[in-house]
Amino acid sequence: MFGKNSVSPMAPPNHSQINEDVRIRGTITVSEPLVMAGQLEGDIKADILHIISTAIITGDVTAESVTIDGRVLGSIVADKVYLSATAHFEGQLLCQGVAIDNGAYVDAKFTKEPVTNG
Amino acid sequence: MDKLGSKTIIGAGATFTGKIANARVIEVHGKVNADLTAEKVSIGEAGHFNGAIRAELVVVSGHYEGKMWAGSVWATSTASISGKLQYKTLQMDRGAALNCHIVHNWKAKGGNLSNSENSDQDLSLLNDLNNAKTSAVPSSPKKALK
Repeated sequence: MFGKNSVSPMAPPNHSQINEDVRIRGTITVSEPLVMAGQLEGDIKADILHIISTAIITGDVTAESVTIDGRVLGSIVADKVYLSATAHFEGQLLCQGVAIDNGAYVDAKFTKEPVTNG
Repeated sequence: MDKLGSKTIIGAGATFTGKIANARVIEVHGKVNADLTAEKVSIGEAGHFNGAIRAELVVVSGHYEGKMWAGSVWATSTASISGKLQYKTLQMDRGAALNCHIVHNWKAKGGNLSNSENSDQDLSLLNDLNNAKTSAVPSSPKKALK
């Protein structure tokens, strides 16, 4: 059980990922790329954020660039936002540039903002 | 990019506050202030974890503070643990710093260990024997260390 090979050497990866089974209540602040696949009730602050199709986020998202394939209910503050065809977004969007694929569900208020991300 | 590995990673530049449930395999390299339920947890050398952990296997190489209920605990040489540790099997490498209340528990009291292979009856018998020998085993893990 404690074999040295059972756990990979702990070289810190330069990104974070939240798996699809994971349920989180709280706040995530990341200064590096984050891939989100789980369920979150709370806020995310990230640099480059990828919300993949299994993810459900209820809360506020702040990032430099956001790619959304999953569900987001809440506000997004970002420089660049890309909503893919599988995205479901309800809420408020403050961003410089946004791209929305054909098929994305969007029910949101859009505001063009100068870069104001944390 | 869409295909994640089977594990969740809190990277070195990440700070997390809150509650994490149902994480199967999780690696912590950043700062986490949370209650966590998982199967397998590793806290990397740079990782700081503050809060309760319930897991089958916990490998600690970084800093841990809180209450832990684990099937197996491995404290590597760079580990530093404070708080309370409730375990079934424990391995400690030379150099690991444990400043904590350590309880060997056959029965996962208060913990949420999903797969205990042994039947509960055998366990309670063993537990009784244990309790008879060392009365230091606290009856409620929540009461102690607060």
